[in-house]
Amino acid sequence: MSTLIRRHGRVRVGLGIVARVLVAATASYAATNWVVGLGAGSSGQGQSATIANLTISAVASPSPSNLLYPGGTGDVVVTITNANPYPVTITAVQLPTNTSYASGYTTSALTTAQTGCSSSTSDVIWNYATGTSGSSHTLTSPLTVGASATLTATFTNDASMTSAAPAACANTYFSMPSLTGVSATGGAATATVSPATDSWTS
Amino acid sequence: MRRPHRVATLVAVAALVWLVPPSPAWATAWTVPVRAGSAGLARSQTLPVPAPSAACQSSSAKVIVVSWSAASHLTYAVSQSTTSATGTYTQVASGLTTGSWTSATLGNGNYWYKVSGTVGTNWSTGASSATGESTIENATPKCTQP
Repeated sequence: MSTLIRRHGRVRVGLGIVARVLVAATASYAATNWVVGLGAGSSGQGQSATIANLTISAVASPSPSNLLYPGGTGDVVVTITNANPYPVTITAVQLPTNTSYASGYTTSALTTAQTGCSSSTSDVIWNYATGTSGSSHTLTSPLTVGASATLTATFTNDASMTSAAPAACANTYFSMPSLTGVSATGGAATATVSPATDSWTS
Repeated sequence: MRRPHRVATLVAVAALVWLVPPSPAWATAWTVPVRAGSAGLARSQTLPVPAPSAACQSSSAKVIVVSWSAASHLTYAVSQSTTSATGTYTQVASGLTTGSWTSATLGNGNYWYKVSGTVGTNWSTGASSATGESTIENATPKCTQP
């Protein structure tokens, strides 16, 4: 009888340890920040099924307030789609090199190319891009995209046009070069109100 | 009897940890592919050709004021002809960032003006069309636009 009691006691101790491990694992799942990077064109990479890609797309509305000109900067407008069932907070972007130029188009639909203003001639780049692909630039304020939601954001003055840009690039809409990634944390957070304004300044 | 139970408990815990599938929450960094072309939209400003007009500063002065609508970030130059609207133009002012230029006191004669705007190395509006004729003379009014 006393042996049976001792066994039951040990079983309780064992179950208690198991329960603590489960609680710790759950807490870890809920509290840990996930860093989500986006690799340009790397759709063939293996990945966990529990994190879906963030999709960042050009969007015509709201219209950029600050327009590009030679030697100046302009706004970039994007939509960020989060297909995950939890909010994702973006804290930084990774840019292509400063020789990756935007393509010019005649309208905001980005369907008809602007003659003489292509991705090889436009001289429009992401502001603060460097000679190294993947340079990381921290957002002034983190952007949180809600679970299974879309956020429209304007990156203020984060496109740049060199002073040597061709005249053909005047009055042109640009599809910016693909970002090489973003840094994001996943988990409980309040979604940023759309449309939002943000930027990186270095 | 105690030691085997402790060992069993440790084995159970180890098995539990091993059985729990890897979770993104436990990782410190994730790389997620992005669809090619994930970027944004920017826009450049227009490059409007100026449409200047000329006016007399006053009827008693031999001074002409040339005005146009200035676009942001452009600098402007003013050129002057004393022969005709289609004559030879000589630049008389440059680096103007506002939409107005006032001549110095002019000699008697007829005057036409054109304005051009530039920004950067390659953006230029080209020369505008000519303003209407302005005439400077000694008699009052000393400046007229016939």
